Amino acid sequence: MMRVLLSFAFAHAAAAADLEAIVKNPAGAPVAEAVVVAVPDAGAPKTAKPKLEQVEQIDEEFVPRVKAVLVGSPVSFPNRDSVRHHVYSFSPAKHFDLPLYVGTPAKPVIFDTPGIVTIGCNIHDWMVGYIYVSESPYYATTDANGVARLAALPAGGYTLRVWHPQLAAPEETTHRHAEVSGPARMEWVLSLKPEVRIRRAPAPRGGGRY
Amino acid sequence: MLRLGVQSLQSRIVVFFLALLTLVQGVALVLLQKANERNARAHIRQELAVGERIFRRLSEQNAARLTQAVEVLSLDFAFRQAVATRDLPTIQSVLLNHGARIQADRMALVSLDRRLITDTADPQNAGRPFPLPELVQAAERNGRATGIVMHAGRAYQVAVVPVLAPTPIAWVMFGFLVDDRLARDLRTLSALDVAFFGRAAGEPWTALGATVSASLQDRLAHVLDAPHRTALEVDEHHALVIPLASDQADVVAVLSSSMEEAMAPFRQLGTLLAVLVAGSLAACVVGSIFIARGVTRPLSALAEMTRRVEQGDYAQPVRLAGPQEVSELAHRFNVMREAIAAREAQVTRLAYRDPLSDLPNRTLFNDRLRVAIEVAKRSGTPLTVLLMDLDRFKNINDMLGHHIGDLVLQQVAQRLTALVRKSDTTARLGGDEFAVLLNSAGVEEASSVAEKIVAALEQPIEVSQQTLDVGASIGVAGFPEHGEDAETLLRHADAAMYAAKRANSGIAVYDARMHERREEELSLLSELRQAIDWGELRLAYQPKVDLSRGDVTGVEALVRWQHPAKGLLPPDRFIPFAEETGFVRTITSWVVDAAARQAAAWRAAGRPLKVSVNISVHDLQNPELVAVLSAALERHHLPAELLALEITESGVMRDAARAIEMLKRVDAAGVGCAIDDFGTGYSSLAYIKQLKVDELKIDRSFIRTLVSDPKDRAIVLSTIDLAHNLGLAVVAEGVEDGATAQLLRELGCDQMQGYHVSRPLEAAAFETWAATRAASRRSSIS
Repeated sequence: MMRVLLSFAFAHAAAAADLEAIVKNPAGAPVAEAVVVAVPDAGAPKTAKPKLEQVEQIDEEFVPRVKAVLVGSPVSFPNRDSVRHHVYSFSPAKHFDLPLYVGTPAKPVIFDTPGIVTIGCNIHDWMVGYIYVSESPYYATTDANGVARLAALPAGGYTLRVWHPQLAAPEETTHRHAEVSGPARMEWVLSLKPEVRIRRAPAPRGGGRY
Repeated sequence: MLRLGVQSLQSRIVVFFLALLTLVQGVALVLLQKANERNARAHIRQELAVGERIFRRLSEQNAARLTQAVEVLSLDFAFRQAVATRDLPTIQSVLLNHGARIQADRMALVSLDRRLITDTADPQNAGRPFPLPELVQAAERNGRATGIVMHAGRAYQVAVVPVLAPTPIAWVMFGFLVDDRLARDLRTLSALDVAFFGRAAGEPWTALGATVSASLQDRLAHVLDAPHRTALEVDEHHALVIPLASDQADVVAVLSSSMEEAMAPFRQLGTLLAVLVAGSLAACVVGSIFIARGVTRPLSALAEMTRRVEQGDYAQPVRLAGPQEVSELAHRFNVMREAIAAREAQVTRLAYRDPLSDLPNRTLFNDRLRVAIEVAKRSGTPLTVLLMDLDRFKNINDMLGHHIGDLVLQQVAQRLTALVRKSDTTARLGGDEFAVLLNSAGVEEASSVAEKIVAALEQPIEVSQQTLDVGASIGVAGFPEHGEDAETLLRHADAAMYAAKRANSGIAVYDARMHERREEELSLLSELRQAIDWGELRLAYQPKVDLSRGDVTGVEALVRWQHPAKGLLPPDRFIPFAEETGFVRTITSWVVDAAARQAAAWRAAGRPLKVSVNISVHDLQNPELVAVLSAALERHHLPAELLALEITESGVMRDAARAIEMLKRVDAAGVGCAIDDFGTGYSSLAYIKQLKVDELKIDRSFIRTLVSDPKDRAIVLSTIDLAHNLGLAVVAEGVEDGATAQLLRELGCDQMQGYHVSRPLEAAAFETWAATRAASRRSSIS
């Protein structure tokens, strides 16, 4: 069950306001890497332009692991490791396949469909990353404290939603409507499934002795 | 020799060791069998415990291997792509292809909401709920899941892994049938029989796959209970039930090991041991027979030896090689055998040899004689027995002692032996009696041998510087004419010998009359012993008359035997053989006593008469003679001068020294003595002079022809002169007529005796005769 606590720090409306979203698990522990999106009731503003995003591969992990991007954004996957990676996704929102590359691949991948794209590496099974393709430009990802800030939200009505890779319930259950008129704080309590993770292969040690 | 009697020492030894060994080995075998069973059970338990560990480990490895194999598939990029894109034909072909590669029996793809996307077992299942949701649940928790499940009556080892892209987008399941093949694989590795059983809830156990027989599977299915770890024992099989956990249905593996297989090595050992036991029993039998023989063979040999000794065969020593005790015993037996042989030889010698002469004795002679008679009967040849008696041996023995007598006998034996052939037998029968058995010799030949013997023995024998004349009388009896058996021959030779002795002829060949005579003598001798008791002996008295005065000076008492059958027997019919046996002394005693009694009677009647008694040479050798005389005199209160003795000249001369000595003692007792039959005994004057005698009685042979033969007259005259010169009275015997009496009177003879005076008369008759004569003389004088 999800409890939604909505508190208003400021009662008066303003032209733009910041929204602080706090995500916790039922035990009260902060939940990091949760994407919080605010979708304006009036639809996404046309002013927002996609920009080049990147998800790095560092030490055989996707960094960041959870990345929210505006729909239509090109995302490059620079490889910071000395080993090759083969980044792919079979997610309905974006199928792509970047076979075995070192360094940055020539062309970024454009994520033109809103939705969640799970990315993996065909070489390193444990590497999992998520790209949240948002139709709204207002999004943020919770930090280690479970806090995400949606800055300078124009006043108005929004549908607020929270997504997390291990979300137990369908994403729709997190949807919440709010009128933003001033700085506000919202809190979500999410039940998370246990993470199914592939065990990392042991890293090669030493220098070329093998 | 193997003796199998229960009583034999050998069989006892064998049986004892056999029984002991059988007992010990039997106990050992039983203990071993029990230990083997215990070991086998422990071994099986151990084996099952180890097998269980191996089995579990194998199962885990198997599951891990399967899981990995499935994971490899699930991570295949193309497969993931196909799954992600729900490309069903591709998915199915990949599943089949990979399943074939890893020999899976059933493959399925399951959606995240646990519905079947595809199922190689049945395409119709697509869209249906996955029947093993708990595995998916476990896989969601652990990233993978394995398990053994029952489905549609079959058991599968199942692995469920996610299809990651890179998060799970579906579950892929591979199932491997739990069947005979798996059981066989596990058996290969665990070395235990494996059987799988499964049951749906509420259903009975069914066998899924096994390496054991169908019947054992049935038995196991019957005893299986709850799917717990349990140890079972079924039909000589030890089994361990291992649950292969599942929630909805039960599957168990039963590991088993046959007791028979576990026992097999022990059985081999048992067989080997049985062979060893049989071998050692055989060795025991052979060995104990061998050892027992070491004991019993010497015993048998010793028993055999004693049997031979018992039969008189001392020649064969017992030879035993063997243990020291045995050879020592054999040695002692040999020593004993030789000692017995030596003693028996000694005994035999004593029994069959005369120790003095070393000649065969009577027993051996009789034996040889019997054998010789048997041989002679068969061969038809004659044989002869010589029986010899020394004439004067008794004198030598009595006068010179037994020592000299023995030396004489030895010399006689040597002379005899020298005269006969080796094949003949010379024996000493006892005393001075010898016998010679002449084989194959007739009587004539034997007689010449006898003559040689007599001649040889007439040669003086020198013993201890003394020269002795012995002389011999030999009786000859030949087979078959004189007897056909040993006893008869010897008896007849004996009769002949006595005949020879009586005739003084040296040799006599037996004839039947001798035998009759001898027989009579022998029967008389036995009767004579009773004659005294029964009062059959009588005395007759023959008067002696003084030639010059004509009066009766005395009487000579002559013994008579009133034999109940033969009538009155004169002394020469029984005195000679009484002398031979020594019985004459008893007769003499009786005569002395009877004569003394009569003399005493006459004296009491007022007519004292000197009664003379004849004594034999044997009486001279009787040291009791004087005592007998004294006793008779005393008993009848008779003055000694009324009793006198008469002894023949030849009797005196046969043992002159003793006669001189004895007559001295008789004289000292006051009893007078006359020399009887004087002139026939070749007496030496040297002896006569020493003899304490009163009278000489001239032998009747001189008197009978005195009137007609001047030579006799000369002899008688010189004898009378000699006697008178020696102070002796002279009595003429056998005077039968008046002319002779007259001539004797003229020759100076003192007294006469004979039929001219009177024949011997019994006491009463004599008294009548004397009364009549006295009356007539009184009338003639007056």
